[in-house]
Amino acid sequence: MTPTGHSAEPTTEPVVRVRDLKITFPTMDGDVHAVDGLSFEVAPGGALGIVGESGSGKSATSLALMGLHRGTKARITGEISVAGTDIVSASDARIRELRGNDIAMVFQDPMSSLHPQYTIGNQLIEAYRTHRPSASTAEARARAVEALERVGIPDPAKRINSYPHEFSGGMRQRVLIAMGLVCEPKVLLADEPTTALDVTVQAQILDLLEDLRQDLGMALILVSHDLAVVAGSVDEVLVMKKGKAVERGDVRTVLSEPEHPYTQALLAAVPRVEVSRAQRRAEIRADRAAREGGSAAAPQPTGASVRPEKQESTTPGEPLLKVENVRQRFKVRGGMFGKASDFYAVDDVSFELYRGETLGIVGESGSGKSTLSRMIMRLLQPTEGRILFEGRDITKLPERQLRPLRRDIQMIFQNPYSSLNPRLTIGDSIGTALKVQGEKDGKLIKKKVQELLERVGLEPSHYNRFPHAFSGGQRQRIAIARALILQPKLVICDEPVSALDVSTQDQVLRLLSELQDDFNLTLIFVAHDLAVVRQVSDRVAVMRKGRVVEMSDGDSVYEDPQHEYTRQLLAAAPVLDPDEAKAHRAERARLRAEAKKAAASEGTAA
Amino acid sequence: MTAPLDAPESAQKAEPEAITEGVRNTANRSLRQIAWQRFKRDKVAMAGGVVVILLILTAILAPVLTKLFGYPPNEFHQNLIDPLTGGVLNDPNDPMSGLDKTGGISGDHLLGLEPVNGRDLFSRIVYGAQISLLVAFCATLLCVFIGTVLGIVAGYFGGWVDTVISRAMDIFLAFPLLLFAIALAGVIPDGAFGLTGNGLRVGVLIFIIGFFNWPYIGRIVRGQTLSLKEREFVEAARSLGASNTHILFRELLPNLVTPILVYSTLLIPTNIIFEASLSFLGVGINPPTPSWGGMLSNSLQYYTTSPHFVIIPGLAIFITVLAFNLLGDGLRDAFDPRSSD
Repeated sequence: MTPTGHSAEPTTEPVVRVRDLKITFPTMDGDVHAVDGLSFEVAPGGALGIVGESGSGKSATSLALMGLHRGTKARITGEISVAGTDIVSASDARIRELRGNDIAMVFQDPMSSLHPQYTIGNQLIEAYRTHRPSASTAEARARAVEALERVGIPDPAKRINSYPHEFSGGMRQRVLIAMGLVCEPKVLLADEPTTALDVTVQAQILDLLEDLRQDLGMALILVSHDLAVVAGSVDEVLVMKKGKAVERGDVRTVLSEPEHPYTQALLAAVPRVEVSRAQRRAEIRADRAAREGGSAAAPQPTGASVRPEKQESTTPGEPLLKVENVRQRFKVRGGMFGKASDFYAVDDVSFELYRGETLGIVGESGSGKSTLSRMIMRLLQPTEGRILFEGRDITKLPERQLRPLRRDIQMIFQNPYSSLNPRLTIGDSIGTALKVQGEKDGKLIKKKVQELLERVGLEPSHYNRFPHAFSGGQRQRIAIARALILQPKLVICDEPVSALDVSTQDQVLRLLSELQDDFNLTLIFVAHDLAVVRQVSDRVAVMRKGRVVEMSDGDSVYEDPQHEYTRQLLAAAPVLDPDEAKAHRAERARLRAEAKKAAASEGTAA
Repeated sequence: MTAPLDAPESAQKAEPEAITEGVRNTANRSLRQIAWQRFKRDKVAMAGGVVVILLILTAILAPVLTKLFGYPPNEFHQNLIDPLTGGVLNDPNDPMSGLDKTGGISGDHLLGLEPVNGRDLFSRIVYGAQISLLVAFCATLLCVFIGTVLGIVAGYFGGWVDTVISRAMDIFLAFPLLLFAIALAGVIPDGAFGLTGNGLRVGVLIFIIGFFNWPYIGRIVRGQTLSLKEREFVEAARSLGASNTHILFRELLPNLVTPILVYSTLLIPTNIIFEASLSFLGVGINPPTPSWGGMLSNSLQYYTTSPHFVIIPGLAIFITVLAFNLLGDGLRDAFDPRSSD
C-alpha cells in the first residue's frame, strides 16, 4: 500500500474504520471478489473521496458501511466500525438504529430513490421518527422543514407537502440529502451523488455538501468515478482498482504527484477544460505516430492520407450541412399546469457546417440538443425551418426517399446499453446497415464488419458475440463501428461518452479523433461536458432552453465567454486542482448571489 | 491489438492492462445458455419439463404403446363386466364374484377397464392425450400467431391502429366464449372444408380456442413492444434506413421470443382445460374417439361402482396441466433477468 502517513490525530478516534475488508459475491461462475483487503479510516469531520471505475468495488464498500449486504449472499470479512459499532457482528436492531442516526447515505439516482406515492414531508418525518420514536409529529415536521431549508429548498414550509415528481433532479437530490441530515448523522456517505445530474446542478450539490460539512461537522465519504468531482470536496483520496486500494493520501499530493501508474492513468484521462482542441489533436496524433512508428509492421488502415491543415482553411465553398431557423414544437398536455400549451424544444436555431469540421453543441438536459440532432438525422421532422444537406432540402423528405440519405448521415447514441439490440450478435447489428442498404453478399458483409471491428479496437472473432458480453466502452466502440460502416459524410454523436467511466471516455474520444482523421469525417458532437466538447470541437454552440445562446470557435467560447450562461457553465465545471476548485466555488457563490439579487426569474435554481 | 490502442501512454509502459477493458469471461455464453443454466438448477421446473416431454412422447407413440401394453382403444371386453351394474368383475368366469374395487387394474389392463363396454382405459388415456395435446398445441400456435402479429403492430405503430386492435382485444376478452363454443359446436355439420366427423370437430375446436384466446398473448406482446420501441436500438435501426417491416420482425421480434415462449407454455394448460370442458359438455370430440373430457363426462354415471373411471382421466388432466404450469413458471424465472440466480 502507498504511504499514507496521514492518519487521524491521536486524540480523536476515527468515526469510520475499515480494516482488511473483503466482500465476496458467489455467482454461477465462481466467487467474485468485489472488495479484496481494503483498509481506511475517516476522522470526525473529515472527508474521504473513494475513486474508481465501475467494478472497482467502491459501491460494494459503501453498501457494506451501511450494513446493507446483510441478508444477501455476499460474504464479508474484516472489520468495519462506524461510530464505534462493529457493522459485521452487530445485531440487526443495532444496525437499524445506526443507519440514519450515525451514518446516512445519499444514493446515485435521485429519480428512483424517493417514494413516488408519499409527499417528501411524509418521508422526512418518517425518517426522523424512526430514530426518535418519542418525538411528536409537530416536532418531526419542524425538523424536516429545517433540514429542507438547510439544503436550499426554497419555501420549505410549503414545499414539504409536495410529491417527488414535482421536483427536478437536482432538487430531489437535495431532498435526499435532507433526509440523510434530519437525524444529524456523524457520517454522510454519498455514492455518486451527482452522476445523474447536469454540470451546474452537480456544482450546486457539491457546494451544498461542502457547506454542510463545514456547518455541521459531519464526516463525508464521497464516492465517484471522476477524480475531478472529488478534488474540490475532500481532504483525502482513496483510489480503488479491482477491489484493492492502489493509492491513498492527501488530495493535493495524490493529484499533483500521483505515485501509482493507475492513478496517473486516471488523471491523464480526465478531460480538462483548459486543454484546447488543437493541443489535444496534436497530442493524439503524436501518440499515434509513436505507436505506429514503433510497430512498423502494422499496416496503415484505410484513408491514410491525413490532411490536418484542411481544418484551418475552412469555408471551402458550399457547406455540407445548413440548418436554417429550425423549430420543434411539442404539445404539453394539461397535467399540473392545466391547459394544453405549446413547448418549443428547439427554437429558431441556425448554423452551417463545413466538411471535415466538428461542431460541438453543449447544453444541460432539456436544452434541446438531442432534439436538434434528431431533427438533423430526420428521426424527427422540424415543425418550422429548413435543413439542407449538400445543398438539398431534406426537411420534408418522406421515409422512403430518406433511405439513400441514411448512408451519408449517421448517429452514435448516448447509451451503449440500449442502442445495441440485445438479441442480435454484434456482427448482425453492424451488418444490418449494409443489408438494409441493399448489400446481399453475406461473405462480403462479414468481411467488412470484421475489418471495421478491428479498426475500432475489437477482435474480428467477436463477430458472433452478443452485446451483453461487452463492457460499456466496448459497446460504444461497436456502436461507432455501426455508424461508420456505411462510410457516412456526417456523424452526429449524441452524448457518446456520458454513460462511460472517465477512463473509458478518454479511450473512446481518442478513437473518434483517429477515425475522424482516417475517414475525413464531419462531426456534430453533442454533450453536456464542457471539457469533452472543447477537446473535440472546432466550433462550439452553447444551447439553453432550445436556443443557441453563444456560438463561435471553440477557444474563444472557453477563453472569452460572452454570454452569462456560458460563464455559469464554465464556473460549474469540475476541476482537478483543489485550490482552483475552491476559487471556482467562490465564483459560483458570487454568481448565485448576483442571480438572487437579479430577482426571482426562472433562474438557475434547477 | 486492443491494449496498445487504448491505454494512455503512461499506463502503457507501467502496467499494460491498467485501464483497458477486457472481454468478460462469461463472454461466450448467450442469454439462452445462461437461462438454461438457471433452468437446470430449478428442480421443480425440470420435473415439469420431463413430464411434458414424456406426455408428448406418449401422444406421438400412442399406437406403439397400445400395441405393447394395451388393447385397441375401441375394443370391447364385455366378458369382464358385470352386466347388471356395468362395473368390472373380480373374476370374469364368475358373474357372482362381485365388483373389483380397483376397476380391473392388472398387468393385463394397466389402468383398468371402462365400465359397461369394458374398453381398455390405458389405451383410451394414451389416445386421449393425442387429442388433448393436438388441440391445445395447435390452438396455442394460432393464439401466438394472431396475438404476436397484432400485438407487435399495435404496440409499434400506436395511434388509431393501436386503438382498433386494442378495442378488438377488449371485445374478444369480453366475449362469452363458452356459450359461443357450445352454440357453434352444436350446429357444426357432419362435413365441411373437406373434413368430416371428428377431424372437422378438432379443426373447429382449434379455431374457436385459438381465435378467442389470442388477446392474452396480444396484450403481453403489445406491452413489451411499447417499452422496446423506446429503446435506442430501434432508433439506431431507423437511422440506418431500416424499413418498418425490418424493425418489427428483425429487431423487435427476437426480443419478444422469450415472453412469447413463456406465455405460450402457460397458455397450453388453459387450452387443455378448455378442450376438456367442451368435450365434457358434449360439444367437443364425439365418441368413440377417446378424449379426457369426454371420459370424465361419462364417468359421472358410474362413480359409485367404478370410481377409478373418474379418477384416472381427472389425474391425467391434472398432471398435464400442472406439468405445463411448472415448466412455464420455471422458464419465466430462468429468462427473467430480475429473478435471483
